[in-house]
Amino acid sequence: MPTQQATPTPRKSLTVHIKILTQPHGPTLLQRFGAMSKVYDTAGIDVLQGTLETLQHVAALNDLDIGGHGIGEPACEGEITFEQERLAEHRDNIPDGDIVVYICRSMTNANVGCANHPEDKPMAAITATSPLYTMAHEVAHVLGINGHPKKLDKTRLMNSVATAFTENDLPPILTKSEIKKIRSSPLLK
Amino acid sequence: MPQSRKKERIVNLLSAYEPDYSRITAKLSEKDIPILNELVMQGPVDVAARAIICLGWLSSEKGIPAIEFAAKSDNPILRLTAAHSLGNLSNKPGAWDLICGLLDDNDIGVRKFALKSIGHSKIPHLKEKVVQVSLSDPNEHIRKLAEHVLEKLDAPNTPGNH
Repeated sequence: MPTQQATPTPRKSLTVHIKILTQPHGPTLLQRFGAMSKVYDTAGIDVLQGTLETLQHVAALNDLDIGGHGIGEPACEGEITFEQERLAEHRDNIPDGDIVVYICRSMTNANVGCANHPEDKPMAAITATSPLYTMAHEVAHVLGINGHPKKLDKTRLMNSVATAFTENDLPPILTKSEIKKIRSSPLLK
Repeated sequence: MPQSRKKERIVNLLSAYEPDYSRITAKLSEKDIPILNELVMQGPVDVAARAIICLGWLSSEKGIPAIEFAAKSDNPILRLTAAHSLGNLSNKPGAWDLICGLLDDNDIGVRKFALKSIGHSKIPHLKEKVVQVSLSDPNEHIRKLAEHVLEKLDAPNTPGNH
């Protein structure tokens, strides 16, 4: 029987605000927050849902350009794009240091998520149809976990491929070193 | 390897949160194009979109029929991904006509990526059409993007200007 590991203390909290360009379909927001909370709870982090806003007049950003134009040019790496910069500006009334997750229709590269962001505007974008744990995965990038495990490990949140899709699937885990990394993020309170 | 196993292997390759197409296409060859074509035409939208991007990266004429299928699909995600991917196929027969048609799409995302592909590939033959878009597209962002693309097309000695 697996032993339950004590969660790290002191407990910290993380506020995530949502800006909707396309209403999520597939997992609901409630399910996405629930899934994220399960994973982050093991790191001693309480995930708090901040504000929720449906953005208007942003149709041009709904299919977000995260780079990746041309053969050999990766998306969601290096410099952020003009469109990511513009999207990140939509954070009225969001306290400095809080993370905003934007839900859009699609992204270049057919990514389902991207965590590249301006240094002073922590944000991630996910697609409306992305798998259940995508928000948890991308926010972990925002909190400082770079890259993905080289070998597929179906138990891990930071695996490059989603391995848990429903609330009935075993939640993916954060490793000890990942927990240490995200707990050291200045974005946590 | 049996065809079904090959297809499963390709679908697994295409399943990442943030697909790395350098790594994916390094594992594919022209022989895999029929499977990619099949995934575009019959796969779920997320897999089909990634197969479209792979076809662009493989840059083979054999991928054009599937890209054309996507460009004429009812699904805007497939059309805009085709518009994006055509930027890597602009030297293939029929590609310019497809991009040109997508500039008239009723979906703003599709028009945006058609314009970006013209800018990326620097297709001077479509300049007149881009001028029209810059003057008459109903969306201001698209009109401005068209102006930016025109600047790119007018830039001297750019690769692809022929």
